[in-house]
Amino acid sequence: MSSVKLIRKRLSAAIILLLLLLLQAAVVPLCAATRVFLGSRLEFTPALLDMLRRTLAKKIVVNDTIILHPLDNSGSAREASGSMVLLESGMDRSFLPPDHIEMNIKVDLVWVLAASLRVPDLPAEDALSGEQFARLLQTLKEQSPDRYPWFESLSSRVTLRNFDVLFAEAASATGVIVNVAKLPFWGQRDSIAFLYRAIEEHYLNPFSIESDLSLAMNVFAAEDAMFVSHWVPVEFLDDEQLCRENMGKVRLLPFPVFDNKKYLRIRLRLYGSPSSGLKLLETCDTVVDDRFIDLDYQADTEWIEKRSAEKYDALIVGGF
Amino acid sequence: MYISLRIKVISLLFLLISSLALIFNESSTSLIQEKTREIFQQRIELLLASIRSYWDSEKNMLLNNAILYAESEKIINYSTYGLNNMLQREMERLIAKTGFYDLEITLVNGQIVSSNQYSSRRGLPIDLRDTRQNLSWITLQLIDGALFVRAEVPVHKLGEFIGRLSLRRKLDDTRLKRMARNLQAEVSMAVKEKLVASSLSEASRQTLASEHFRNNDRKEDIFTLKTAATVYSIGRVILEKTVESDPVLIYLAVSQDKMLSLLEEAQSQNFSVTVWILVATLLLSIIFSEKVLISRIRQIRDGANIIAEGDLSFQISSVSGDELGNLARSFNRMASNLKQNQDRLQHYIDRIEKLANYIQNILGSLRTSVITWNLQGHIETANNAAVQEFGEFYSELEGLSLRSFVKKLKPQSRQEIFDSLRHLGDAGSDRQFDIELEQGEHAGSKVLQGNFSTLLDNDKKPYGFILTLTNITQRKIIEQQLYHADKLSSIGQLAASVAHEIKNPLASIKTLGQLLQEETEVGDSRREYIDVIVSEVNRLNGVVEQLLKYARPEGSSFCEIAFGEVIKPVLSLVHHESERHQVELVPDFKADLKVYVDPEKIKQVFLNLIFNGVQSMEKGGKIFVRAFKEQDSPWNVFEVEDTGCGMSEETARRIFEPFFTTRQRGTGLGLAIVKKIVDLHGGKIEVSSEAGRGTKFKFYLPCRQER
Repeated sequence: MSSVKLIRKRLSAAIILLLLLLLQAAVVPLCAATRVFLGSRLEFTPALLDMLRRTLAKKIVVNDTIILHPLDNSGSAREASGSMVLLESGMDRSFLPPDHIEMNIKVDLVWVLAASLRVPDLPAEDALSGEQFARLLQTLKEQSPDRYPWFESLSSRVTLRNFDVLFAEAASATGVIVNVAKLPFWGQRDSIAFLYRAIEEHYLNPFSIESDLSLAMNVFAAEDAMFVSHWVPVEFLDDEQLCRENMGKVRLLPFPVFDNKKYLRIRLRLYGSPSSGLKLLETCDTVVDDRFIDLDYQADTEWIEKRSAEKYDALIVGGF
Repeated sequence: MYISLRIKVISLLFLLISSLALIFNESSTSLIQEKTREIFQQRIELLLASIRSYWDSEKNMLLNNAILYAESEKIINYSTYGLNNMLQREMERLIAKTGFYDLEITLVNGQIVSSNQYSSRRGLPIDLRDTRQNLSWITLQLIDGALFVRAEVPVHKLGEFIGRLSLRRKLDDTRLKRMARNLQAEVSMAVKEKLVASSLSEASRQTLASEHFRNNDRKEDIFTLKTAATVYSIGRVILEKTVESDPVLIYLAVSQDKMLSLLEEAQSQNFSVTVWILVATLLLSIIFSEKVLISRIRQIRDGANIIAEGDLSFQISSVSGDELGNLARSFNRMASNLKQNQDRLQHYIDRIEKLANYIQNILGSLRTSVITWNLQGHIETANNAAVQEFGEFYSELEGLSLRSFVKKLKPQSRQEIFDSLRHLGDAGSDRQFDIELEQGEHAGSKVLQGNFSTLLDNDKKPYGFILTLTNITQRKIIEQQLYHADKLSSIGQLAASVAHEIKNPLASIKTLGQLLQEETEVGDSRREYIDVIVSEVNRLNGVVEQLLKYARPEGSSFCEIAFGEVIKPVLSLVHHESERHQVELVPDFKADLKVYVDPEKIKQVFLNLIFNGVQSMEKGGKIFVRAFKEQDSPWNVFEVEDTGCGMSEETARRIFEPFFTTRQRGTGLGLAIVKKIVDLHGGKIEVSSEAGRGTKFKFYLPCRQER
């Protein structure tokens, strides 16, 4: 009798053990994640990180979830050991672990003007002219005089640099602030003057001066603004459905200044250990695309460090 | 019904103390109830008083929150820069999970953004000239039957008034339940006699609404409300007024369940204490009654029992100073007095007993029977002599009636007694009489001589009568014997003188007759006559010899001898004669039985008796010869019994008389000699006979030591 009980007990223990093992096997893939560290000038908002993650997931095949970790200090860099790193082109790669090599995976981010499809009479063209943009703003302002149709993350020095590069590139600006007060805001040759006058005209929300990219995207998402500039993966430009899934009913446009039809672009490259067994779907090539204006990390960094404060002050002080 | 003193004392004490305990229980319970209700009432009053401060703190909290929200940078910026959706989201986020109903901002331009509405709306622009716009206030609003408390504060950006922020809290059931938790009392609010919110259950709420508001006359601030589930004490107070100036009443309901439970518990505890007190009281009553009362009473009772048993020297030792002590002292005094009286009484009793014993001894010692009758004719006393005298006739003398007494007497005696009683009391009457009682068929009569005298009491009045009797039976017998002896003696003397006178001529006749025989031939016809003469002379000589033997006193020679030695020669002697008469001799005795007799004379006795028996049985029979010593008796008994023809009573009565014979050729002296020899031995002889069945002679001879 006692031996039967003993056998039953042992059987029960074995079944429980087996169940635990099965449960562990089922749970482990769920808990596992592929960590990818991000090194870039950008301020990665949750929305941007999500878009980036989705894009990256299409380029590499992993069995588990991709978690993106922005690198903001050397401590984080040390943590990158054993993980992949998505690093902006032009950035110093010395902090990468020795065994990390470039994985021939790149993710391009472009700086676009997101326009809500609720904007009345939004033209169907791929790009707006400055004048068109101004008319749209004026229309919206007339509809809601107490509100501002446009919002920007002007406290972000990267945003200021973007505008600077864009104006310089598009208008071959000299970089010297010229008092062009008599011109409409969209006719200004200087990015800061452009922005300042847009604020003065009550098109651009003055709160933009204090806003970072995250707030700006939230304001746009809350439909408190019809226009906002921010970064999206380049794939969003050509994939309307992808865009709608991630950003809602928006149209992505090159920032409308002068006759600009190009997007500012930065490129992130993936580095990792060859032993990671990662399966790559894309081979990195260096095809030239004239839709984009590639930002120069070094030059931008230098501008940010030396000029951004001055530009920001000018934006606040005005006097154009 | 007997109930012991202990039970009474215990019952009394128990009843007394239990009554006190019950009164105490009732009064303490009432007091507890009263105080509990008072405290409960005070608690409600305190709650009513504290509800205002609680309400103030609620309002302050609301106001502080509103101010806090109004100072929120995001709120200000979003408001300032027209980020209405952001503002709405922020406000929504701010009040999420705070319990506030909504947060609303009215901007200067009249635009209103509310946390509850996704799209802003536009109202009237704020009049900036109205200085009140910079003030904060709290109001109560009744909107669609719901009560709201609203805090409204100004919003400034960098000191510039940009709008007003209002924070509202809905005073709904949930909020009131929270208040109830904080206040530890159910809270209800009513406006315009309508319950707008309550923490009470639905049933209790309906009861409150129906019972309270239906009765508009109810003005008390504190009242009781009975619901199906519980009983509430409800306090009512006007909290404040709504913006429409309707008073907002707040009802604080405190369940009486706990109080009632406490009261029940207190009552139960009181009851338990009372029960314990009663038990303790009972025990103390028992102990008290035992120690203080019962033991001392028991001491007195035991003393009484000891005295009752006769020990009058008993004294209670421990005597206290209380009532029982007095009782004990009285008891001791009583015991002492009793002791003295007992001693005195004992002295008298002793004297009376001595006297009584003396009289009793006198009466008991008297050979005269003394019997006293009362006037009712019943025997009251009889002395020992009377008892012995009449013991064989009456089983019990005392109480015997005169009629029963005389029944046993012979008719002549009865007549004598009645005559004597009739003349009792006559002057000079001292009438004596003889009474005769028949002792039995063969025992003869008992003769008593007596007289009656009157028994007087202490007052010399007749109390009864006394009969004194003297047994004169023996005297009568002796008198008869004397008469008989005298008669025998006369006969004997006469016979002796006659015998002497006759003997000589008879000797001459015999001599001459013998001469004639010698001279006459055998064949001579005269010879037969001569032979008859000689024979008859011989027989006459025998008779004369016996006469002389009977009359002539002879010396006796007594000795102790075995009876066998006495009887065996007799039996040998009569052997032939008995065989001739076909009579069987049946000896039945112990040969070694010692007798103290004159053997020759006793042989003569047995010889005469056996011959007498043989001769009475012509057709044969049996003669039993028995000798034995009577148990515990000084007599040796001898019996000669035959199975002959027996004799009549008259014959038996005369059988021992000299010359009395029933036979033709008997001398009539044989049995007379037998009686004489037995008398000579100091014994006595009896004869019993029944005609046709035989005769038994039984004689008693004393043993040697009795002689």
